[in-house]
Amino acid sequence: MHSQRHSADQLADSVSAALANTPYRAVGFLGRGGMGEVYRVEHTFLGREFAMKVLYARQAKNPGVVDRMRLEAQATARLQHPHIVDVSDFWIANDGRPCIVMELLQGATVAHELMVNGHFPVNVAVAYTCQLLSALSAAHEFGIVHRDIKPENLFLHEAPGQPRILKVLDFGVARVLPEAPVGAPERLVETTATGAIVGTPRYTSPEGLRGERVDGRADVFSAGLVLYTMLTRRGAFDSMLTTDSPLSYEVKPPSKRVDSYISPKLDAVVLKAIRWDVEERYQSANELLRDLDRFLSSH
Amino acid sequence: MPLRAVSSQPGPIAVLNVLCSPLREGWRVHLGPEWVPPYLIHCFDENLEACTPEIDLEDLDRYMQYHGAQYEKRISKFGDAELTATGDAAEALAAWLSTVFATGVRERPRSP
Repeated sequence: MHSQRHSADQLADSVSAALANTPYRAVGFLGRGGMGEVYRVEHTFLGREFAMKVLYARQAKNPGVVDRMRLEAQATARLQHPHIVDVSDFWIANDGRPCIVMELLQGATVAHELMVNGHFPVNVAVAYTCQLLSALSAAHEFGIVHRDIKPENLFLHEAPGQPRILKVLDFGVARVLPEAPVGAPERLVETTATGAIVGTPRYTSPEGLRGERVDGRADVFSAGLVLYTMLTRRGAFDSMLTTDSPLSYEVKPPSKRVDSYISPKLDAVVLKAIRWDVEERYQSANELLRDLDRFLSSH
Repeated sequence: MPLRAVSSQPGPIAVLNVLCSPLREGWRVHLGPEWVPPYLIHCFDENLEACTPEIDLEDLDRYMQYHGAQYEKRISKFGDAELTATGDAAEALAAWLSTVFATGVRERPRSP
């Protein structure tokens, strides 16, 4: 991650309360989000650096938001998947703010790569999507739907001497399904009532946009849209007119959006992943993963 | 060889017009009726209005610059910001608005 310059005083002010009586000390500022700030921290005994997300102070008295961060920490920690960011610690500070300690990633998000370098080479985009689907498949088997899959939440991590790998971030709006197995995080009282949109509208599934309760197929839709965007740098539904009917709208296949060659087979897989009608879409992350794997092994 | 009829009419071009008005806490966002991408429509009420806790116009500048998208921004003396974009730039502006209405943590674009 790119750190931003913060004076030691500013760092001390904003996180000192959150780090009191812990073995961590803040060493840098990484970024801000809608719910909290992320710092680079060092475990003073182990001498190892981590990323720590801490809720904004103004949200600390909102039990719903605090509970969401608890679920985010539990879901992420229990999944333990190579393509999901690793969570190693969690506590609620004396000032009421939850803190999540995660592995410190090096690299940039898919969103950043798209902005700086444009669309991805076809096989690279497909390979990263396979890593994403492998993570989603594990989450879904555990009864967890991410609900906010988008390029900003997918990090391309570069460990020294290793190829870049994709890591899924931010289970902050995840939903634990009623049929989740034993060991899954405790379900939240549904604070996001039916009718509310959860996630980022541009990447949210149609059923999510309608405010319905969603299952893993919503993540499949978002993953398909991410793949479409990695291949073309554009969203599949960006050009849709207000008057277009989504069900009959003909999405341009990725091959019609870019000069690089994209096979009709891959076009078909991507279009099936983002079908507006949930029943016509791939029914699981695994199913889509199998087709993309097949594509990769034949190229 | 038979002549083929070719339409000289270009396809409809998206125009997105957004008015952001500061409230005591947050912002009210009003969309013009010319074009609203379907993925955004559910964020707005029947008058194409919605409220959001934060609008960061510098963030918008960076986002549009990254995407090579030109847009018009007019700021009134009351702090209202009227944003207008056309075609691909309208799609980029809509994509940025989508991040404004995202729930959960969102990443702010970083300096290159």
